[in-house]
Parts: sequence; structure tokens; C-alpha cells
Amino acid sequence: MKDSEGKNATWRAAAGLAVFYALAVLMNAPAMEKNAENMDYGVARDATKSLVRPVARLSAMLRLDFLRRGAACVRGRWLDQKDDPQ
Amino acid sequence: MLFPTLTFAVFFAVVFGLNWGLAALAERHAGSENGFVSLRKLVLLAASLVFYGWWSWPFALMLLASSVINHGFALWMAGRGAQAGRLPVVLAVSLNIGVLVFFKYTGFLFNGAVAPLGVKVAGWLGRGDAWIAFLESAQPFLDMIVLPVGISFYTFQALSYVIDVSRGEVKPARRWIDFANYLAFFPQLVAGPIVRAGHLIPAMENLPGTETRLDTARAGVLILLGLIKKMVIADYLATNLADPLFAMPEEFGAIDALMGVYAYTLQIYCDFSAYSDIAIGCALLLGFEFPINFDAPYFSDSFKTFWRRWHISLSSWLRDYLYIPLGGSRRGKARTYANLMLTMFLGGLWHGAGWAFALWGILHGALLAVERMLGRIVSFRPPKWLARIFVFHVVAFLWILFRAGSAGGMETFKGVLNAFRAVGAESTLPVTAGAVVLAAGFALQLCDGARLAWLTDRVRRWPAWVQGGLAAVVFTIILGLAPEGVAPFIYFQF
Repeated sequence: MKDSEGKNATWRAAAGLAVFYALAVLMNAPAMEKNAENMDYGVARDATKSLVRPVARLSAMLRLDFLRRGAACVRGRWLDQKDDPQ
Repeated sequence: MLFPTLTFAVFFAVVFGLNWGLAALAERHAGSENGFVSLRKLVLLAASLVFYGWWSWPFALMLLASSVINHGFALWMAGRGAQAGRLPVVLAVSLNIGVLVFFKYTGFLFNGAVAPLGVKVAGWLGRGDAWIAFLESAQPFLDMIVLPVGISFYTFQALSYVIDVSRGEVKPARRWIDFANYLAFFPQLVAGPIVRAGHLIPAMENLPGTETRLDTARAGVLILLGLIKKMVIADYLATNLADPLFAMPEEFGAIDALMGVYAYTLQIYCDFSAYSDIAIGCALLLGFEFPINFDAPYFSDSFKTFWRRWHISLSSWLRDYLYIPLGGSRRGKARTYANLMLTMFLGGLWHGAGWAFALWGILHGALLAVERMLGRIVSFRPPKWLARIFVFHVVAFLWILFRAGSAGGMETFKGVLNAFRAVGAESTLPVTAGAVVLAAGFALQLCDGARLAWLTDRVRRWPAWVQGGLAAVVFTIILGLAPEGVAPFIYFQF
């Protein structure tokens, strides 16, 4: 596991992880906001909502939530359907 | 703390940053054992305790106490050498097993063995009323015993440490914190893989530095595969097929029973191997390498192969610390078969405190013994494809017993078997979508073990930021396909 290029590998990994987190938050922010709405009333709920709300707005504006909504549609249309015995 | 949650995502980001940040600081201030190295070890231990304490702080302290006591025994054995004799290892093993038995088996032993036997004995002695009064007074105490999550896993890790030290195969950890980090390391703490002391303690003593090439491709692929297995496949199969069947088997016919049994067979594989995949992936991102725990078990063409591919870390633990010390296959045929049965019986009980788990283990032991016997006396070998189908279906059938052991016991088992008799009954489960998900779950075995190499080799060629971006896209699709909420992993209860 030793890298001849030295320490850059770890920092590249950190950069990759940062990109993952940033994009994942952007693409899932509306769902995160919805989850925050469902939390128990209190400081944690207020803090989460105030943190997530601006990102959720940005995500909706850029339509970055299309992927998750599309996947949820697939689930609803195909996976959650019961077979009709008729 | 569950892996597929936002809480864990935030927790892991913090631990990742601290781990590598402190590694960089330690290297900047040269010296093999400077303050930053110690701080990094302390941070890893604190992270593991927070991860475990999220569920229960008292039990996190018990885990810490276990690390102190077991390390004490190891130092005792190493310090006295041969003079120490067998006393320390016997004490250490007894203590670890005693704690496990207390938390996991007290209720089972009392209600499943002591109470019914006592009723008969007390009846003969004419003291039945007194015995029943005693049982009633003892029940509230039994109800207070809560099974600590992951105790079976970390107890087996502690046992492997003290036994290996007593055999001279492993040196005691240089410092207590190195052993504590081995025992409590959060990625594999609550549901394995059971990592051996000889594998992980050296890595905990000399923590990986920033020159370590992090295999982000393999880690990312493993974590995403684990999330697909758990959140999309296992949770779907549980909610839509397996749980309804096992909750009310009398309501279903043969087709539904077959779907439900297949569903549980693949649910338990996807659920448990998902945990192992995510654990291995998270450990890789922190610079630690774990052995694989699953290797396409349902592609096995014999029961022996199945146990070499299913929960590999437990199977090899049972082989090295139970089967071989019992004599293995060195003491004649009859003793070999008895050893197989006993090992699998205890392996069954390891999974859960109940007769159904014990019977499940005994039946697997019997299959291994019969297979071994037939291998010696019969030269005919069936085609591999036929052997694979046969092994898969026998294993699936035995999973009914295993699942019934978790809820309902033998009544559920009988109920599912009865459901198979209702051949003409109308199917009420989502058979079409279920079949697609079952096929997907079965096919995911193609990504186990070395089979994953072709994928990771390709992903490794991409820059880290591309890997991160694509991982975010796949992760989002997984979240969209997954049902609301996250069900706990099956193996948490063991």
C-alpha cells in the first residue's frame, strides 16, 4: 500500500471524499430538509433546518435533486407495486 | 450508530480528518513515538467509544474494561512465560465466556433448561408451588439483562488475542491503547469481520502514515456495494417478502412461501455482507486492511465450501480455536464427525440463544459430517451446477429454522413448512418485482472477494475527485431506490 508519489495520495483521497460529501449533500439536500422537518421539536431540529435550508434551495434551483426524485419514481413505479391477482 | 445514516456520515468525516491530520502532524514533528502519534491513537479510541456509546455508554465502558482485563492477562502470560502455566489463559477464557454467557444465554438457560427441568424435579419433591414462586421472582431480574450490541464479536476478538498470546503466536500489544484500539475499532466493532490480533495489532502499534496509498477505489466500491446490498436489496426483501411470511405463515401459499424463503436467504447474505463490505471500506479509508468476510457463498458446490465462503472470519475462528483444539480430523473418523457437530452446534448457539439456533448448527454439522463420509465411500460426483443448486436449497431450507429462531421459534418454522403444502393458493406477495430484486441480490455475489478486482482496477484509473463525484451520484440513486428509514443489521442481535 506504499505510494511512490508520497503523501499526495492521502490528500487526493481527502479531496475525493470532500467532493463526495459536497455533491451528496447538494443532490440530497431537499430530502434532508424533509427529514429535518420530521425530527422532534427542539434545538437539533432548528439547527439542522437552518443549516440545510439554504443548500436545499440551491439544490432545487439548480435542479440537482432530479436524480434522487427519479430513483424514487422508479421505486414507486416498479418496486413498490403489488402484483394484481386479477 | 448505524452505517447508512447521516449521523455516521458526519462522524466518519470528522474521524477521517482527525486521523490523517494528526498523521501529517506526527510526520512533520519527526520521531516514531511523539505526542501526535499518541493523540491519534487516543482519537481513534475515543471515536470507537463514541460510535459504541451512541447506543449505550455503560456498555462502552464495559468494552473498555474488557480491553484492560484482557491486556492484563496477556501481559501476565508474556511476563511469566512458561512459568505462568495454563492458569492465566484458563482464567481469561473463562471470564470472557462467562460475561458472554451472562448477557446472552442467562435467559435462554433459565427459561429453556433450568425452569422446565426444575418444574419436574420440584413436582416430584412436592415443592412445585415454591419453584413457581421462585421463577416468578426471578423473571424481573432476567428481563433486566440487555444484550450489549456486538458482544459476541468483540469477545471472540479478545479470546483470539489471549489464546494467541498464550500459544506464543502473538506478542502482547506494546501499549494498552493499541490493544484497546484493536478490540474496539469502530468499523468492525459490532458485526465483524472478526479480525485476528496478529493482523490488526501491529497496524494499531505502527499506525499507517500519510505515505500509505489509500485504495479509495476499492473502499468506495465496497461501501457503495454495501449500501446497495443493505438499503436497496436486503431492506426490500425483508419488508416485502420475508417479514410478512415469517410473521403470519398461515396466511400464505406455496409460491409465497418459496419467495419468502428465497428472500430471507438473500436478505441475510445482503444484510450481513453489506456490513462487512462497509466495514472493510471504512477501515481502508482510515489506512487499515481487513480480510474479506464473504466470497460468493451461494455459488458453493459443497457444504464445506459454503462454510469457507460464508462469514469467513467466524468459520476460521471456530476452526482454529475450537475444531482443531478438539482434535480436528486427527483422531479418527468418529471423533472427526463428533468434532464437526460440536463445533457447528456451538457456532449455532453463537448466533443466538435458542434451541432453533442450536438445531440449525447441529444440522449444518451433520451435513458437513455426511458430506465428508460420502466423499470417502462414494466415488460419484454430481455435476457442479447440480451440486450448487442442491447446496443452495438445503442452506435456504435451514435458514427457515434460523429465521424462526429469531421470532416465533418452532411454531413459525412449522407454519412456513405448512405454507408449502398450500400448492394452489393464490399468491399475495409482489412476486414479479420480488423476483427481479432476488435475482439482483443473487447476482451481487459476482462482486465478492477477488471478483471485485476488475471493477476496482478500472475505477482506480480515475482521479480521486472523479471517483468522489461518481460515488455521490451512485449514492444518491441508492438513497432514492431505498425505502424510508434504515432497518438495523440482522447480525447486530448476535
